[in-house]
Amino acid sequence: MTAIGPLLFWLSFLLGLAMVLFDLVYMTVPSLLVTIFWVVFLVSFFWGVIKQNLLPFFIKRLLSSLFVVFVIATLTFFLLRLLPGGPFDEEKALPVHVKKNIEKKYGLDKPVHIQYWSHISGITQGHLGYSYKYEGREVSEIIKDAFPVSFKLGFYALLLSFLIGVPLGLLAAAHHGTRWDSAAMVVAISGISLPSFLMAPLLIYIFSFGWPINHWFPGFYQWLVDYDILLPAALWHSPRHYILPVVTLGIRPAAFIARLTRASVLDVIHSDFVRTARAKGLSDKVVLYHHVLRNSLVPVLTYAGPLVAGILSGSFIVEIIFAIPGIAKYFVQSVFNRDYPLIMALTLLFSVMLILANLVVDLLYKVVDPRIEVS
Amino acid sequence: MKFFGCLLIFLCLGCQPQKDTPLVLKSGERRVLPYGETLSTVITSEPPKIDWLLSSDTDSSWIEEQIMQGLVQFDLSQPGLKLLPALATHWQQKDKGQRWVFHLRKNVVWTDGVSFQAQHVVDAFERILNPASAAIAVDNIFPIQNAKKYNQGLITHFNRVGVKALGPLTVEFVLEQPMAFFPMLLTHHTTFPIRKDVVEKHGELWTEPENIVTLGPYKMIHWHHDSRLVLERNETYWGEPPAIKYLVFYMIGKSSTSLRMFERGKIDFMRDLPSSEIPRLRQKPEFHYLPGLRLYYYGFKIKKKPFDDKRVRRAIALAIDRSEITKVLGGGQQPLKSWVPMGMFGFDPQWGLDFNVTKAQKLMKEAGYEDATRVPPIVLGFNTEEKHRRVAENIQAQLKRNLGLRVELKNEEWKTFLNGLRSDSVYSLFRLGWVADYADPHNFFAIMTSFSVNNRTGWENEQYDTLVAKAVKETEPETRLRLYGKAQAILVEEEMPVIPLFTDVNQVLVSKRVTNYNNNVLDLYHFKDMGLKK
Repeated sequence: MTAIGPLLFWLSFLLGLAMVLFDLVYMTVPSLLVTIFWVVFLVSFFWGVIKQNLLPFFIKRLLSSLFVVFVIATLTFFLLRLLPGGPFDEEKALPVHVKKNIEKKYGLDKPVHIQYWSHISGITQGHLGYSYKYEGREVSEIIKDAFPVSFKLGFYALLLSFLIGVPLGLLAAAHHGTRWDSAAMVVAISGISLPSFLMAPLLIYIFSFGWPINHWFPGFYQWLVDYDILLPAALWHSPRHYILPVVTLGIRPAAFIARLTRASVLDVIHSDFVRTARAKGLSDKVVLYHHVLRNSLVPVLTYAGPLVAGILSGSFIVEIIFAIPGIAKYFVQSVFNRDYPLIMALTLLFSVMLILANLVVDLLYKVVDPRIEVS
Repeated sequence: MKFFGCLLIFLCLGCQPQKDTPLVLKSGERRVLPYGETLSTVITSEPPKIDWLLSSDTDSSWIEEQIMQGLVQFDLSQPGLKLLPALATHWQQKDKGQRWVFHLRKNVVWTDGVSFQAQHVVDAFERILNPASAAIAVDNIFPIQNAKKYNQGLITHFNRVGVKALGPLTVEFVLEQPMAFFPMLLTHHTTFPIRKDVVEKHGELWTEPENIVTLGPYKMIHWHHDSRLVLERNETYWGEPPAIKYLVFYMIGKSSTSLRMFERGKIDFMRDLPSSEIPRLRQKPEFHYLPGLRLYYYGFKIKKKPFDDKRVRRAIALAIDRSEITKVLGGGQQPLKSWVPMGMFGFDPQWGLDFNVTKAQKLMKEAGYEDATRVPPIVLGFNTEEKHRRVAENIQAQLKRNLGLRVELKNEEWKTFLNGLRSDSVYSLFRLGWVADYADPHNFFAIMTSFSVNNRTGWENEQYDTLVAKAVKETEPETRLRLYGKAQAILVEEEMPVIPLFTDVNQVLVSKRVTNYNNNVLDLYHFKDMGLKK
């Protein structure tokens, strides 16, 4: 019985891995696999929640979140109406009656409180409406198309940032004060200080345009071009296209995580229980991985909550620079277009993600450090 | 480490180093678009709607022009922009140009095998004019009898509108009044025929590749929203089959990204070039430019001081050296002082005010503003964009230098800017542009009439309105030119509610492997006429 939890966890982990591999090889994941993954993942998640006696906390948080979402929806609705300019203003002005025809079609001729009511009741029925800008496309369909792309980009970037950040931080802390430490921190600092709008062109210049090879060895460069070995400069059509945007997006959080891990590990390493562990005669490795790392992850997790929500809903700059068909650019463009239904839906999407990410992080606290009281 | 190893192996497995473009259609069919038969190009966003009657943006219309056709088309290979037959083989004007009869081509079939008929043309006009369609670019066809009233909902029976099928292959148009250039309107995508049955069957989703039915040189086979759109040569097209088999339109929002793709050879054709890169790009053989039928102008809010005085407006126009602006932009723009841009019928450089500082200063003195510090504050509004900023800053500097005026620049995001233009209180001077929908000067003169919604200056002039209305009806080119000359004398010499600044350019990058590329003033690029080097 006790083995079920870990079993489910590892099963969902393996399924996740299978999904990643499918995606990297075929660019698509079979929908059956996705369904099975979500079922197993959710079951294992709730198993964990129930096991840890966190269910009441979970439900309470969920209910209060619903209220938050409602407030956000209301605020967004009215703030949007305060923005100057409407969705159908263009350089070529519209004759008055044409404008009326359009407003009638979209129900914008009705009083605001009726629009508000029909909007809120639409949301509760799961109907987010049609986009004003991309006629014939339901907002939910746009999100369905674009969100997985951003999610994928964000997921790989997160994976990368944890895979680089935690070991790097650990390395620096374990070799505290040595050259290793300073080298790792120089890398981290440069990662943090390089904004993605600078990082992206830099990576493209080197890995896509072959600088400096294109200047020094034109013959070799031509060979690289002919065989299409250099990485694509933009778009999102194959796993090769993933590399540069994922690195651009992942490098900053990686650097941040590295610094956080280092600081936190250094903190823990000097605490009494580590000294005890050492005194027991445990090897450095065991102490570091089993005692120190786990306890140092709390600050990292705190940072991870908003990070996950932010990164999974995409990065505007990275998506724009690499022409990735994700959701992030809609956050900006829908406002420019005054595409009310799309803005509403995206705001709700982002708030729900933020709430969920924070909730999961709170739950993870408990798993990582059972002393923490969540309420 | 092992994980990284695995990741690397799988990444390499995923690599398919090849120049051809693999494609998976919605039906699951896998295709490879051979590099030698595929032209790749770029549009700036997901096309809002590829519904030629309802769309009003350049990206959508560019695609519509590849997959559809009108009754007539422009001859883009000649600078004169003559009309060529397309879906109509010939046409006659009756009643001095108030009635037009078009004879349609036989043996034209839609992509679903149905033959093309006059009713499809009538259906298109019915659909675009129907108030429930809420079409945006509808005012172009208001010259047709009762079209406006039907669109306003004042008439409910479409048979009273002046579009009729006289036979299976004959369409008659009756206009509100004679109009010499009426056939030109039928080059625009808002007049292309439509299959009402297809639209009704699929509703909002009729433009998806599996539903859409067209009859142009290309047909749509793939539309991955927000990513790319693929067209294939339409084998049942009535005319000469296009030389290029596949067209791929990538949707890339940032022009510097598209430029990188072009430089990597992934894109063969692009417009909307990043303005900061123009000086560098001009050195390249792939760069082509041509002043287009595009007017870039500044308007005065004439109800706002000091621009309520036409002497001040004229002084400002006289104090601006337009060649300085085009030099700053450096993309081939041509200084323009008349209202009709270069390359358009009716363009005549004699109209408009030349740069003359002494005269400008004199006029300011006459208007009582000898002391520049006593001029009410001038707010120059423009929408946030690098190019507009450069123009605005240059004008700010010129007015300071030549008249000692202090001009405050105010840039706003696009829709906020348009909203500000509605009132008279936000800006006193503003930038706007106008691109011709069809190659007739009426396009430009109509903007400034007192009843035009596009006239945002607040200026009204009865004499000007009469001249423009008269010129539309006139069939004699000489007389039309004379009338437009008079109108320009009022607009850009006497009253000066607007300052034309320059004829804007169409700039494109065309890969060396593209053959038969035609530069044209209308910024229309029809890939059916182009080819690819083997």
